[in-house]
Amino acid sequence: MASEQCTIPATRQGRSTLAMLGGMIARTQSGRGLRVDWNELSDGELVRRCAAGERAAWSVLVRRFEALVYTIPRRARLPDAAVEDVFQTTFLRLLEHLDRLQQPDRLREWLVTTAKFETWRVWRDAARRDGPGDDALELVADTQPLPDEFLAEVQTWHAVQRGLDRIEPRCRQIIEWLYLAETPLSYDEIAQRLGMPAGSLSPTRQRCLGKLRVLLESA
Amino acid sequence: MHEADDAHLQALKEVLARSRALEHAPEHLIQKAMNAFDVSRRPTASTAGTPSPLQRLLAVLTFDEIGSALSPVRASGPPTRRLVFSAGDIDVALSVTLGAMRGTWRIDGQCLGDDGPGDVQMMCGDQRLEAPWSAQAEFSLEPVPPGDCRLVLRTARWEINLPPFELPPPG
Repeated sequence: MASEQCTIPATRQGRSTLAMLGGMIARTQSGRGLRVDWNELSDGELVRRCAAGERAAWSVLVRRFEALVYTIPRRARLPDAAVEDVFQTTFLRLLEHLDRLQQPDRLREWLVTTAKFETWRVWRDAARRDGPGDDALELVADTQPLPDEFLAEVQTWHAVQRGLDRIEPRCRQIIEWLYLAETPLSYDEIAQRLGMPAGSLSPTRQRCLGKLRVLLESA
Repeated sequence: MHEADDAHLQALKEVLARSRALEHAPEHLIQKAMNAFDVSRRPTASTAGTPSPLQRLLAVLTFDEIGSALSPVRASGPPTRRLVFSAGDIDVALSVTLGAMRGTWRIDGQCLGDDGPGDVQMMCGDQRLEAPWSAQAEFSLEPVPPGDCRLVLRTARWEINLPPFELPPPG
């Protein structure tokens, strides 16, 4: 899995994790220093490296899944402090279970399940603490803050964004400008930014979507 | 603006648009989660050499949603009763729905807090069922007759007894 370059992608918000992680170098078992293409490591391989004590692997793992874990308590409309608790507890639980995950390649599902249960726990504790009253009843009455359909869909969203992390930068940029920007750019604007003829953008766009689709199907 | 795409690409575009709902955590939270690695990986006393005695725990019912399955008037939507039990750091969630066989129930459950292999034993009425759970610690039990139900969950390290709960005859 080692390659010659360290390609830590920028997040959707444009922050560069490369600067933060400073271009990590991972050592192979032979002791040679090799740059690791973290993007190409599977979730299972990341877990195994974390369990082996690689701090860099843990940083990549947190970065890879932070949005997935954060979205779940946010969707349940927990207060900010409770969202933070769920977020931290979910990753702490993962740290506790690194050595024991039966299917490390299904980490996404594990994290969703754990975050869901931590959200339920906070929600349940609040209902008990507040006692009978409108707020508690409202909490209990909303028995499906995290319906299964949503939990399945949020995993799909994450898988798609993960695919974007792995696709070539030019394709990623086109797809982000067209489908993820607050205000999608026009073909002319994109062509101008990329220095390409506007007429070639459509087939390029289709090709990029096709590549993303292949990545998702092979994952 | 865009030429017609096939159904697959169209579906992908729709998922991409919906994926914008993913929210990124504040940076200080991310850093805190990253830093937790240093604390957690400090050497601790190894338990490999000394087997721990089996822990026997009694769970407490912490949540019980009685849905339309048990009410005299059937509401729209699938009848479901959800129960959550807690025993220390371990939670057990059960979902009770109508069974495929007339007059019975189905129990789907999940154990959170331990990822090791385990199994569940159930006594409901005079029916006894056993099932191992999956890698995600999920299990299903069917057919479950009406009556008083007791479940026991076991791993190599602990055994959790859930307090009894009653399942009436399906209406």
